[in-house]
Amino acid sequence: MMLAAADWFGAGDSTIRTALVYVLLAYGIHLALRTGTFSLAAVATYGTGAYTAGALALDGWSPVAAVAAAVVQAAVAGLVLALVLARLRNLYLAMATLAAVLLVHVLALEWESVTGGALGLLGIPRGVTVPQLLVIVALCTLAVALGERGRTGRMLEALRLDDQLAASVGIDVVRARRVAFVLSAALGGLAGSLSALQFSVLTPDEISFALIVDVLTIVVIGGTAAWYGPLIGAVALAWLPELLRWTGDLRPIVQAAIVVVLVVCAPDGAAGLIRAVAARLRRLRRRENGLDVVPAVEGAVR
Amino acid sequence: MFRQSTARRGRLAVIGAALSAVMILTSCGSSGGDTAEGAPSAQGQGQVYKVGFPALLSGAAAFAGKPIAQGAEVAVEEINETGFLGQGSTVELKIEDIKSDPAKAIALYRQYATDGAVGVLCCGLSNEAGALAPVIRQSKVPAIVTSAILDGLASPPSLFRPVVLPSSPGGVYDKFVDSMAKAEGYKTAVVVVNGDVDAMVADGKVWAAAMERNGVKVLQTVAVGSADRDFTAPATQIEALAPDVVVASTLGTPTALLARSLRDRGYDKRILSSYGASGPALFDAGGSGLAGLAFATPFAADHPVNDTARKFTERYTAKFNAAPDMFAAQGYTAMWLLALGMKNAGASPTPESVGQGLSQVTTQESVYGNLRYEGGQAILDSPGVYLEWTKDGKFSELSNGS
Amino acid sequence: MGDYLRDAITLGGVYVLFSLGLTLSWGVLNILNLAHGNVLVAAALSAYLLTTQVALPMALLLPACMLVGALLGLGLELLVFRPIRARAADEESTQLAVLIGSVAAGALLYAIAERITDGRVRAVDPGTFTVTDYLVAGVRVSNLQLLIVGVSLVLSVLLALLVSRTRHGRALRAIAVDRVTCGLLGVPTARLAAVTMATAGALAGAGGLLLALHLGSVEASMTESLLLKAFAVIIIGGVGSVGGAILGAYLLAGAEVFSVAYLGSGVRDAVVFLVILGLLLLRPQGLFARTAWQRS
Repeated sequence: MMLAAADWFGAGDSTIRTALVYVLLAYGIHLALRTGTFSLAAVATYGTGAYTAGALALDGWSPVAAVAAAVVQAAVAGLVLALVLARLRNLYLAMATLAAVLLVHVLALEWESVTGGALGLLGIPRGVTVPQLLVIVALCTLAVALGERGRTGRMLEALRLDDQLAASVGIDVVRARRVAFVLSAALGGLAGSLSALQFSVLTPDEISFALIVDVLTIVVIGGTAAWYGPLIGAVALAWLPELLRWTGDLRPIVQAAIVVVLVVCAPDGAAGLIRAVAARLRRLRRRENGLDVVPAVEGAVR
Repeated sequence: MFRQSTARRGRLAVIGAALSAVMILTSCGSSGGDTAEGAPSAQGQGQVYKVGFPALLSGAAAFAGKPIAQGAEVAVEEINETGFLGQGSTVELKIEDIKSDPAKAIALYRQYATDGAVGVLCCGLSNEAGALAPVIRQSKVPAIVTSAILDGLASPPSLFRPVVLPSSPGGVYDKFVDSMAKAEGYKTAVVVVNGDVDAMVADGKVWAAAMERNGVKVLQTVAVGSADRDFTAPATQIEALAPDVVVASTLGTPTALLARSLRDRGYDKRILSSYGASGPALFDAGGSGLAGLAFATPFAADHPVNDTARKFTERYTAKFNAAPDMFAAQGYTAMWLLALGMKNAGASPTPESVGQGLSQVTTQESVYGNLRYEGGQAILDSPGVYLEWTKDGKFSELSNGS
Repeated sequence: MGDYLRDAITLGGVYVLFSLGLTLSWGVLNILNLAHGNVLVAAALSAYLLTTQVALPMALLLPACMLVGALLGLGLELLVFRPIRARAADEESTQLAVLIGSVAAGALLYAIAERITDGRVRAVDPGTFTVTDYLVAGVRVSNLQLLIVGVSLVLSVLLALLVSRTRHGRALRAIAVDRVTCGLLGVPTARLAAVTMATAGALAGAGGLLLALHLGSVEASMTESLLLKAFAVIIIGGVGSVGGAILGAYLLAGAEVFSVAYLGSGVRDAVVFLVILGLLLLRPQGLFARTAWQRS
């Protein structure tokens, strides 16, 4: 295991880059899930953001300008989607945003003058280094972590649990959801644009059902219970191929099977596990200190 | 690596591979040796020529990448055995997997340059070619393009391409149409193109012009998608037009499925296509529907055009226990072109002198026949081999009029 | 014109078979089963594997594929959906957890299909079934096209009858409205859920075989575009509505075939998106949603 870790950090520059980009994308989904919304809009804007940044960079825009434009574009797309899909919830919203992802894929294939068609965009100037990427990911992680504390954290929790409850404590449910939707889309756009500026090649294949599977795998492994879930999930996803190397040709099957088992047996993921362990430890300590309190609060926050 | 973790990204990567070689679908039935091992290292006191090859050994494009690498290995074996580069001088070929990641291909290219390689085989996929070409043009180590057909790749003294581009004027397509139109007396034609692939659209125009030149009326050009799998609608459309011949300027898989749908609709006339239709695995997709699909190819293992092709087929079959396909021929030809350049570079080769040496290559005796080089791009003057699929997945040769 | 009509009806038949299962599991069990397409591919692949081994007549091949689909649907329910349902806290989080579970299970089926096909397109060519053409009102129609339309009609009528006329169907409609109360009242909800998923799987199995024959080939990724079509069908027809799904499927197939014929193949998916977007904006409950069982 240690060997595998050393190997991974030693060998895979592009693996690290992909993992970092995936962390951002996973935060996009995470944010929506935290408000009780199952939206894949971030995956769709990952695609539009990647193509926006890629095409602009090929036109000679600086990396910073290209990324900024992509994020703005993604946020606007997110707002439009939020308005169009305002009435939808749950499965309907999941279906509609999934359709949006597939739409981006088809657009990438058909709008050849901008996207390069099936061949994609080639020779995009590489404009993002790993340290820069690390800083961006750290900032986003910090923002998400802070957002889950205090007042906003409680607001998110209320939104996730029950709309009526949220409204009753004075939260503007519609507005809060819309903000979360736009932020989620912007994060997706950021992730996509950074990806396009790193790998110098962008094909329609990048934005397909496979990307959804990857992101959901991160969500499943990491869990959505806390801000560190997507971090753990992305690192695990990056690591899995290395860990499963011994399975050879069967690796994709074994990996998919592992994810299924996790979904069924550990639905709260790593973050949920950590929370549960932490809660139990705290309870033990309290008992040792003679403070045998009912742990109801822990249960509610999960 | 995990950019492909779920493998669903396969299809378009395969299209990319197909683009790079005009052809899709070739079984890599041979398991072969471990291609990543490279050739035996040099012995004796002669010169050792280091050559790097960032290859496509895994992922969706492996069906093309593996035979390309194996073809190159056969060439190295031959070069070293025959002492082509002088007594005791050998080529040391280092083949490494880029794991479907263009960024990795660039990293490997830079690594080879630092390690003292005098030349590189490269750019299996058009994706990689697009990513690598700018890097290669700015550095010293010359590269031979094994398969990519992306526009304008050849640029001496850094990039050379021994890949036959069949759509060049007076090239394989032109000769093929001239010969077939004369033999079978077409009056009307329909051209089908992959509308989302520039190269296929451009080729479609070449086909159409060749038809018109032979007095064949092109009734319509039908655009289909390279990722389409349902060809019943175009087949219905074509059936209604009832042309004497259908030209499929499409990638391998769409060609097979189109042929299949046309045959299901009862269309029983000639279908012409490029050498993308030559892969044995095309039969996996098209089945008996391929019968009557004809194409021109510069290389076919069972129908060698010269001794070079015959010897290559023998050697490759003995080594890998499977007949070489078009991809293998491309790898073999690329490695031999590099060897010609290295020989021209003289006694103490450097990347620059090999680049100069490659620029001096004007002709190459290849498995396709004689290749001419203009601006680093190979041109084939002979017509190639004309083959037709039979109902049971075999080829029968058509007259190429020579 | 007649040719295009024939193509549209054939394609509509395939869409019906695929969409019915999806809309059924959604309508009754609140499951958006994204592995549904992979079940269809699995059935088509078993047809491919079977026909390359033995020459099976259609009368055996169709039930075999439906059986494969039914078993996979049952497996999904018993191994994935039911355990997830047993754990989740409330209805909303159950739906999302099951959705994610279906994506994971679909990815597993996909990985297996990729392995079997080696990532390539495989021709499906049952030697025992020869395609012959008939002239119907001046249009050439093949027995395969008749088979597709016939099977989809028979199966959808059977399903409609099952849902509306039998005790079983009444129970299904009841659990669609309120599963928990039904459970309390002694309706065997667990068994009915299993039956529903198996039925949906069997429909996908038939769809898989017929689609493979229609295209002449099978490929691991052939469902991605189909999933989108099914979404459009469900949006047109309304979730859970059998009649709506049938109408939706034929409307969509017609729109597609005629737009491809007159505007080229590039617009094919654009038409589907227009339908989805337009309806989501104007009538999210579907055009024919009067009979929809339940909306969330």
